[in-house]
Amino acid sequence: MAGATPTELVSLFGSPALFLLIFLVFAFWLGDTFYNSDQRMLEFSQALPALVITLGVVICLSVGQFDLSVAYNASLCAYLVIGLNYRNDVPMWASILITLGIASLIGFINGILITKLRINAFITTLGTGGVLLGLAKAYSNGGQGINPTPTDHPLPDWFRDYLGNFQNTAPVPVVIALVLILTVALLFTINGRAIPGTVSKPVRFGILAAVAVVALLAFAGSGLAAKVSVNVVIFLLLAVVLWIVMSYTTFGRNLYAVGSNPRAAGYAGVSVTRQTISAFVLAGLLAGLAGVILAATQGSAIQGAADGYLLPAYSGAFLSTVLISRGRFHIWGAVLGALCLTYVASGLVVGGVPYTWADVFNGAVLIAAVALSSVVRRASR
Amino acid sequence: MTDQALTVECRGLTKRYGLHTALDGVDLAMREGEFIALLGPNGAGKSTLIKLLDGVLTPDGGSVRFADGVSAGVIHQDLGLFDDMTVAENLFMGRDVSKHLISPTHEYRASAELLEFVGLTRVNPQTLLRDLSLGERALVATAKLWSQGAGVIIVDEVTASLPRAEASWLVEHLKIAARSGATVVMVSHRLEDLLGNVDRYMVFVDGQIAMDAPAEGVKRDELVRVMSSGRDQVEVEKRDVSARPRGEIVVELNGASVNKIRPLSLELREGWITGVSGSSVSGFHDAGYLVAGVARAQQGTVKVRPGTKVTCLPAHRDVDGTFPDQSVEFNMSVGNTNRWRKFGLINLARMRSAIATAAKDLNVIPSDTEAVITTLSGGNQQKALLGRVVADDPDCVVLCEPTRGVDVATRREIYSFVKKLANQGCAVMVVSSDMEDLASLADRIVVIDDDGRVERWVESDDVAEYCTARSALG
Repeated sequence: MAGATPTELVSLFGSPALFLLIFLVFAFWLGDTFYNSDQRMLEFSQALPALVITLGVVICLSVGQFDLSVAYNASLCAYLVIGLNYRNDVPMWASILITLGIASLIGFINGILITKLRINAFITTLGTGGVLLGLAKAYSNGGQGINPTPTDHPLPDWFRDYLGNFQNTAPVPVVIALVLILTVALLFTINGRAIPGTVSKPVRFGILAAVAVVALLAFAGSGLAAKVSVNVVIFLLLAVVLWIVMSYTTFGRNLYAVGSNPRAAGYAGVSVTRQTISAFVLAGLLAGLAGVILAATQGSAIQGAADGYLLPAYSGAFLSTVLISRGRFHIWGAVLGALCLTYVASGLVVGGVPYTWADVFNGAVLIAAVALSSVVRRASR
Repeated sequence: MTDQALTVECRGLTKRYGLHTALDGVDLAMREGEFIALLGPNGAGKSTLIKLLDGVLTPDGGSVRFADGVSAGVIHQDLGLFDDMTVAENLFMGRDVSKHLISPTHEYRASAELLEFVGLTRVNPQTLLRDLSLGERALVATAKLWSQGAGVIIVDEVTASLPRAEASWLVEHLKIAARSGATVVMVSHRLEDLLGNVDRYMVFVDGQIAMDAPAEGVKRDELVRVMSSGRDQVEVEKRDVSARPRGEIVVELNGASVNKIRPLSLELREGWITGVSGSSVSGFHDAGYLVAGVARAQQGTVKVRPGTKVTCLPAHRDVDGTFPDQSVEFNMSVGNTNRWRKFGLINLARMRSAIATAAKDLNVIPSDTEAVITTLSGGNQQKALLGRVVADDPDCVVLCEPTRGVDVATRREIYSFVKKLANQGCAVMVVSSDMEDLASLADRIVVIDDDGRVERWVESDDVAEYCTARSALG
């Protein structure tokens, strides 16, 4: 390829190639038992709460901060959204709004503590995470669940159908429109972030065309058009909006500026405080949304339901830096990374590896993918 | 000095960044006891050579060969020392200690020996580093490198932030270190610091050695001529301000104070260049940051004409200026993206081409704006940041140390650029410890004394005289 050295190429495309290789191995080893679109769409739908948290984590990391409270925030919200409806007879729509408001407020408090009192983000969010965990325990009377039934405070149908039910598939034209939007977004992202500027125009065009053709053919061949659930559609639209905000607005670019060098951002006229607080509010809001989706999926309130999503969320966010965006935290990279990790684990489970080992492989794959890119990048300097 | 043993020898040394060749088949040799000035315009390959000697980069061609047991060490502007530790602790930080217990008396004695190597006999090894002057700290860093076996010690633009008197004091002591057996290589854009002190000039232009000669008999003019060879000369003329209308007031300080700056009143007018002079002790850059709104006044007021955009070039490029892991394009766009906004979204394609054009106008090398900014030389980073400051047509710009660490030719480019800006009606404030900046640019100068008070105002007719007198004093 014109202008790019082999090491550059490996560092750019090594990690995506690693995942491609794994999925290729799955194709030969497992065949249709792994490439089963119903199963994989079910897993996609189940992974949504963790994916939504991931998006918030990406925003927080972009501004150069950590938020360790997101998973506890999501757990509390998952309980709260049903609790308000069941115990206090708040209508579900209002319950959702209140919950999202509280989730954002938690993010706002994190942001204020970090920027105004200048407490380290790690310590702050570890602390608020502990407070949230305790609040959730107190609110749930020590971890008792709430089980609405059709006769006892039933959940509205739309709540489950639109946010939680993977079997409620979206109309085919909607899915096709969504896929076209996603393909365009993918091409823009690859063009802007993954291909070095030194690559000549025809080569660049060739790569983009190839990606588009492969993506669309894969979609058409998979027969997914009739199997995408409404909540997945909602999530992907959310990701499109966040991607546009991060890449094409002054707000988003200023987030990256603060993350790269907060002092320089200040001298360049960017309000570091406002950007940082906004990032925490967004992370909180998305954590709250993850909680709402989780509650809709479960149909009941379970204390601590999202606590385990902290690590997967950070794994996806860190994978984003090596998958398609040359070192920058990126919305699509995170979505792809989190999905890849989910599917690597499910492939191993399908292949007979005990379910209990999935997390071990998840961690190992994360390290391998990130190490591959960073080691090669260092060697090429 | 040719009878001394070689410390390092390079043959056919070549380094490329993408399509840009930073070093092109360089042959050179350095010897024990030599004090060498490494000169050349920005982007000539000095930084690349330093990084290759330091082992941070690997060459694409040719070789670097050190004598047995010799390595190279680099002292950068930030020195890499610990302010809260003693001189002795700093000297022995990070060394392989054969014994697990450190003997304080042994450390003390060894430190005193090392300090003698750089001529710092007056300094007690038990002193906290923060109590030393900047020049003394630079010498501690030198001694530390020597103790770690660095036979080649490269001092990279360390004098740029020092007052003149201290800079020449430092240069004399570095010469002592060279005479004690090290090869000392000094990089500085301030020729005055080096003239008459070094043994040898090594001038790089466009990735090659343009001059490598003993210092004896070489005049300043000749060095400047070699350094600016192959570049368009920009004639710097003083602006004629006698016929200029007074212009509208853009920013006005009324008894504003911050940090060490005592209540300061001044007004910036359209089309006028106001200079601020002072010593680093007073933190006089804060006066500029007050105007730019980066620092908030603790007393008094800062009045900005409604709808005025004020931008700022910070004094410390590496810490406060660049976004190190980001592209030139990103660095030039921060704070200006609203210019290319439509319906709330940035038109990235238009922004890219506008920034590429701006970078070309400013002669930023390499011309590829997707290059990561830290791969550029200091002067080119500075030009890119200047591009950021003016990208959104501000009504007022504050330029702190606009030519720090910048070569002669780039300096001229920057001067004519700033003048053009003022002629277009922009209110400019130049806050600089470099008298040449003020002499070439300022219409009037406010001088801040070491206590942060206004020492005096220098009006246009007296600017040249004041700057000459001041720079002679150092």
